[in-house]
Amino acid sequence: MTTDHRIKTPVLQVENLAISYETRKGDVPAVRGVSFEIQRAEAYGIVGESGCGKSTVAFGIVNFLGRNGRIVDGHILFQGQDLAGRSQGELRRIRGDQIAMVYQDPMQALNPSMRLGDQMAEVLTVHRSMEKGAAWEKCIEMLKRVYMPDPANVMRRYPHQVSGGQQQRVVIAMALLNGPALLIMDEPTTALDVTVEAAVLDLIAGLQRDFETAIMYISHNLGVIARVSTKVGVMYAGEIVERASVEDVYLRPFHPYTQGLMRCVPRLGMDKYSSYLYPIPGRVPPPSNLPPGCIFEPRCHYAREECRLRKPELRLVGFKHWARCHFAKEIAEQGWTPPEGVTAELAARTERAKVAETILKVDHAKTFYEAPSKKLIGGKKQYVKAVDDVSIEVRRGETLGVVGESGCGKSTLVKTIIGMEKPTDGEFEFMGIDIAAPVSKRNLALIKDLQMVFQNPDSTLNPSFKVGAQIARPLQRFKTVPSDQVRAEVIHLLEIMRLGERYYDRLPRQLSGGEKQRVGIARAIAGRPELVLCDEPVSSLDVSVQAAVLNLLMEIQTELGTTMVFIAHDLSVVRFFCDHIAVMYLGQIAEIGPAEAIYAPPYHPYTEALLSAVPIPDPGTKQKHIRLSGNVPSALNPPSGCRFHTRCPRRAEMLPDGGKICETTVPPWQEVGKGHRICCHIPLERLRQMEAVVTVRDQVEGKEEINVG
Amino acid sequence: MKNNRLRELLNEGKPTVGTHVIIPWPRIVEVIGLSSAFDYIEYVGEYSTFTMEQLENFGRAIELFPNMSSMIKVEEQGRGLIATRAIDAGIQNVLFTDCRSAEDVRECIRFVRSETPEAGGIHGTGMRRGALGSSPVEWVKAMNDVVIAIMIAGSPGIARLVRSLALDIRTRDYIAAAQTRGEPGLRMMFVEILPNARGPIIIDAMLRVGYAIFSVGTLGFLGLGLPPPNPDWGSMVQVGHNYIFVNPWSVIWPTVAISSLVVGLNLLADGLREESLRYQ
Amino acid sequence: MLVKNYMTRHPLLADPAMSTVEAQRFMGENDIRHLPVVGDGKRLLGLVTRQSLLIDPGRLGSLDVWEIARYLSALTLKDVMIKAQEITTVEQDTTIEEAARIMVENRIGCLPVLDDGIVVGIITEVDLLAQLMEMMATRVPGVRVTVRLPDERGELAKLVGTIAAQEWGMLACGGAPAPKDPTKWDAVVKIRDVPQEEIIAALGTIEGQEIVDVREV
Repeated sequence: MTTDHRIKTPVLQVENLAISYETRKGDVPAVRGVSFEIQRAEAYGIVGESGCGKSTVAFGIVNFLGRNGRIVDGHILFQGQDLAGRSQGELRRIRGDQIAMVYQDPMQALNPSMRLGDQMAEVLTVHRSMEKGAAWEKCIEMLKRVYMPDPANVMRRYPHQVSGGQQQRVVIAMALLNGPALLIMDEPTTALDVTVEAAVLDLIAGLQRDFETAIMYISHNLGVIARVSTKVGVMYAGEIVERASVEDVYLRPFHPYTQGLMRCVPRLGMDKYSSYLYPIPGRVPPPSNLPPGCIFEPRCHYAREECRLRKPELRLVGFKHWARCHFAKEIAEQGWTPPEGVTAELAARTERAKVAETILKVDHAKTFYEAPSKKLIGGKKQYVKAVDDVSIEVRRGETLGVVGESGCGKSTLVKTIIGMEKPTDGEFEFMGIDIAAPVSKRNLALIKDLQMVFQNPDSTLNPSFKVGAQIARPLQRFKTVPSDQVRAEVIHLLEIMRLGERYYDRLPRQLSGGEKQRVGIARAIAGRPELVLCDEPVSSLDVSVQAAVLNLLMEIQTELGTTMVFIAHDLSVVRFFCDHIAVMYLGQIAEIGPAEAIYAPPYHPYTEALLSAVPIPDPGTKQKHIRLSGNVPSALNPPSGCRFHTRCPRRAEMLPDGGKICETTVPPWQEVGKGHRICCHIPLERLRQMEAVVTVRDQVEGKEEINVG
Repeated sequence: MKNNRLRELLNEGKPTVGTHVIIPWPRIVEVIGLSSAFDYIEYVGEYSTFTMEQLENFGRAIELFPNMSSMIKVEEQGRGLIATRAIDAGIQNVLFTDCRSAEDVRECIRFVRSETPEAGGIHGTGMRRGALGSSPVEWVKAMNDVVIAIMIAGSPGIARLVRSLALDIRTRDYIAAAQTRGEPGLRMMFVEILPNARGPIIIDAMLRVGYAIFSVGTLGFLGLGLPPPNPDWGSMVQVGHNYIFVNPWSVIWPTVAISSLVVGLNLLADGLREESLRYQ
Repeated sequence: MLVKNYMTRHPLLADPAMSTVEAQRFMGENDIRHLPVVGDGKRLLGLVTRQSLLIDPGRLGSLDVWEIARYLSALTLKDVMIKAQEITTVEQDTTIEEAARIMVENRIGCLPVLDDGIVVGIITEVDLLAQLMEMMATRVPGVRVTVRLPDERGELAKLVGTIAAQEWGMLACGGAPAPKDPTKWDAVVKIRDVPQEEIIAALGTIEGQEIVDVREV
């Protein structure tokens, strides 16, 4: 359809925006020289790691900077009108009627003491002076547009009574009620599970088509940005360093930082024996202490004298492709060579002798939590069946990955193994010894050999003690080295973690997230345990830091021969890092086997849905589109038979009788071979006929397709 | 507190006029006072008979006249007792007779001074009557007791605070890490949890000091404060409020002192809270 | 083909307190000829066109230069806009041809699209012209044939049937009463990937119908 006659004014045009915060130490320039524009019905992705200022830009647009933030330079033109210098009343009207913002945590956006319907209707009754009944009707209509099941009922509920995905849908519906021209979304799906996230992203794409709303999508997740955006701006330390269409940024990046990002993200299909994640060395500079020239220069592989002296401008390096680098074109021609030692390291990983000895064996594990009964007195006892009949085996030197969404029981399983939770049933054997007892009753030698790395780097270290003391504690407790050599051993561990002796006397608050996580890992391996359980150790870290920590973990594995159980929800990371993978759903294992086998057909239908939902940081990859309906059932009352049957998209087509058997009988284990097992009623031959969910595209030089109309 | 006219005049170097009274009849005191002719009355206790109640009445009558003071002359035997009883009753000056040596004089002085036994004196005395008929020694001790009573009444509050802090800290990952090391419970409580709870505890302590000062001030105002020469601010306000229209400053300064100390402590607590939050 | 599918959503809007000078500059910079003026909740308060920004000389007659400048700079859109009650508007579900009829009958160039008084979009004559382009597949290469046929039932079906029999693809098909001949009707058909001669040969043989124009575009 012709669009030539349409208004060419971009919905949002940011020119040279600079935002500073006043602090006790002076003005901190958080955002400098940011320029981009968003056309109507376009989805613009702003990607960057934590602290790069992307949220600050969004807050600056809606004037939500807080008491000490100020826009010190630049223009923000919304629908052609400069937002600066407008009266408060006008700004309020513009922001209320034409710009909407969706935040990361829906519980923060929703008032917990008001019904959802009242909150939604308030948007209309206040802004448009609509009458309550009519407003209520409109809200129900909008909820239907966001695919909310049973909207009339949901309107009467309170926010805590609906799931996270539904809350986010309500927030998005509220944002769209006034028909805004610009929708700003700041990490709206980060707190959601993968399948729910996929559904919400689909929703956003659909709404964008229907309402022609311009979307500014802010995220640090490269996969999500690749799926949602048409154009991308990459931010680093408060500046935009690259700006282009999504294909250009992901497949032909010019700026060294973008290239570094693309190299350190594990893509589906890579594994640790054939590919390497290249982390970006160094740290993000704090805004109070920026380098004088190019801000990326201290970490740049190609840095030259000029980079240190002169700040580069954003210049055109290709068709509608800008990069902030003096030598962008030369770097592109030069190509990139991996640093030395990588091939040797890769070789070292494969050379490990695979000893077939099993060190952890879990048989029919069950961990139930008692749920408080609804009645005050009496009432039947109810149990949350967090882990229900799980059996795994871990061999020495290998890594077992456990994936699943929230509520599947993976954390509970690991906590039961380490003894922080009491198992209800099942046999647990570690190195031949029964470990069904809680940790306080275990033998010290046993405790020493079974350690854990935790998820949240900010709370994994005790804030009152120095780093050296905290790493030394396990050494002192387990007495693995004589007391006069403890300090030397701690320094040795810090060296392994690439931190160095100067971290010995630092307090946790002086460390960054990645450094804290490394100290947490050092503390876990201090006693040279046989098995380390890792509970989502890299989920809270930025992409480049994640790569560094994963490399460290692999080094530890190679050198010390530690066995690992790795929990994660990011399927690409798990595929990269683990030898074997177990996929869990609602307390049970759906599929278990070697990593390559899980990612290729035959799949368990849940694995298939998970793989089709995970956002892949490659706009060219073909990914099947399978979405699960409904919500994860409650673990208090799991479905009978196969637990997945309420949401299984495959049972109707692949089983005779529409899959009735799934509702009544527990599915059998089917052996696929080489340790790969699938727990499903669907016969194996039919499962083998499934298509692969993800086809990774080879870097083939294709022609550029020009879109018509 | 009634000013000592005799002391004032002597300090100014002026001559004083007094008269002798030998009967402890309060009417005589009133007649003499109403004449406004004398600076002080000397009650010649050496030669007259009297009871403690009569001394009491005498002192009360003297208090009617702000510009007149009183003195008692005591004989040698039992001079300490009579001197302290008289001062307690409100007779502001004492004339000791028959002092034979320096030691005697020192002893006499010690009888009158208001040092408490803890401070090396014999007893605590003041220019005011003891409350509820108790002696000043008990009185000062009661003051200390008052303070102690406040502290005991406040401690369940701090226990609740520490408990809620500990419950919150227990959910952190580093506690889980300590559990996975099999650390014993006591060690976890005192080494892992408690040092991280100190921020709010310190702040709460600051605030409680403020509350305590308030409470002491209030008690002083109600009459349970410390006597001069080391009065507490509440007592100052209590005495001063009688003369608030004559001399408002005697009320204003102790009030300002109490409020500025409490506000200052609150601000300090606020600052500590901000500092401690910086590193969360 | 409803208004809601072809209107411009999120048009540029103005506040009634905006000065006319600024509005003029704004409209020039962004190349628009119609600017809706909205209040709370995007409620339509008025409409400003290039025309309405022209100041009536009569008002300025008696003022001197400085007064004129001050008068002009103080004028806001509230003073010059066409008030909401006087503006013709349409709803989202109106058909395009209905919108076109309104525009023709009232000789106006644009219609704000309202939903219960709230501006949800704007449709202008240019939008309708663009739609006409689409309807006639103007940008797609093909052969454009105008066939004059009697204005009777079944004639058009004959034409289309002939084309269908040849298994040709039609890019566009439209028509209107023939100019200057009330009994006839001109059907315009655009066919792709077929040489002109074949078309002439096939369509020229239909009884009662004649090809009045054929061209390759």
